[in-house]
Amino acid sequence: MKLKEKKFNIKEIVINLWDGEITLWKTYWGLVLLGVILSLPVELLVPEERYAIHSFSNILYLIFSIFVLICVWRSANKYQGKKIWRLLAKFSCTFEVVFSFYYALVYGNLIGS
Amino acid sequence: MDNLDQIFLLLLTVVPALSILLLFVFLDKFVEPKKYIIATFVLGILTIGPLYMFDELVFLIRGSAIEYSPFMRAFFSAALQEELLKFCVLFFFCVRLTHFNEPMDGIVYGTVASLGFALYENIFYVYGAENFSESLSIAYVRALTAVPSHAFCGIVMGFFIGKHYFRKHKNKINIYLALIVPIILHGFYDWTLMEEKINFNFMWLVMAVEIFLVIYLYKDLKKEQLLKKHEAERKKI
Repeated sequence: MKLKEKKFNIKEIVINLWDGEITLWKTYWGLVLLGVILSLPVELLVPEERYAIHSFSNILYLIFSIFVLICVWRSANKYQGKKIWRLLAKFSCTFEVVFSFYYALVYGNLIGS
Repeated sequence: MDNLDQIFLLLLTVVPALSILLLFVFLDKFVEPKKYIIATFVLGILTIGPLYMFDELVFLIRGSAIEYSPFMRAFFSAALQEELLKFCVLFFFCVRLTHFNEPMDGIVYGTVASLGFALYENIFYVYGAENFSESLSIAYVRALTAVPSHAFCGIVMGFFIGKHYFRKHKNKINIYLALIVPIILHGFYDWTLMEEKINFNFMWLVMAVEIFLVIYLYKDLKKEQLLKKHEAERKKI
């Protein structure tokens, strides 16, 4: 008997995420985890004086959080379960985009100057 | 400052424009061919040519550059000239493409043309700064403000151009709006930065208006696109 080989195809996963084809919990927690994996090393290991790296990291995180918002939003629209999870997922991702934008502005001294 | 800092500065200059571009290209239900996206992007970059030529011509004729007031510099020297050239890219190139076949394409090509220009402008300002820390600061600020603002103006322009070409009853008002609205938005954005009497924070108000306008226009077209899709499916049945 032949076992079916399951290939780990990143492109396919990204397309499915973008189209909201992956279930809400997998999309949400998968991307949250990925966000932590991507941002934590920079926060912990790169010295604060390396402004170029931190600046780019802030912008990249903002872009990533917009990507997460779109994926989660689309997945939530297809979610069949309780409405509260759909709303919470959308709300928390929207909050994350707003917060990361605000954080980026504060980092660049762009607020109140 | 070392090579690593230089690499991150370059990324900070280039990545924001490219990511907004990818976002809008892939938000479209029917993704446009790569070659047309690249061609529009390159044409967006090339719009810088006529801008320089105009300035050079003025300099040749007058012997000196024109000294504008902040208002005129914002609305005429920046907004009118830049938006007019982006409009030309859409009007003389994009709308003639066979793939320009639905209103949403206006938004996609409008964004791409604008971001081509924004990328060149970004490189020009970032690498024209006196030292590294100034370059870094310019790249960071522009990534959060000027680059998205250029994209928003392109979206608004593309929306009205799309409306004009795909409405059953053609009305020239949409063509005028495709030029006037982005010029007003761009002009106000620049004016808040150039005019010393205006508080810098008013720029955020202009950006907020742009964001809400873009969300509203985008949703409007998305609804239309969905309706079209349903219609096409019904016809198939």
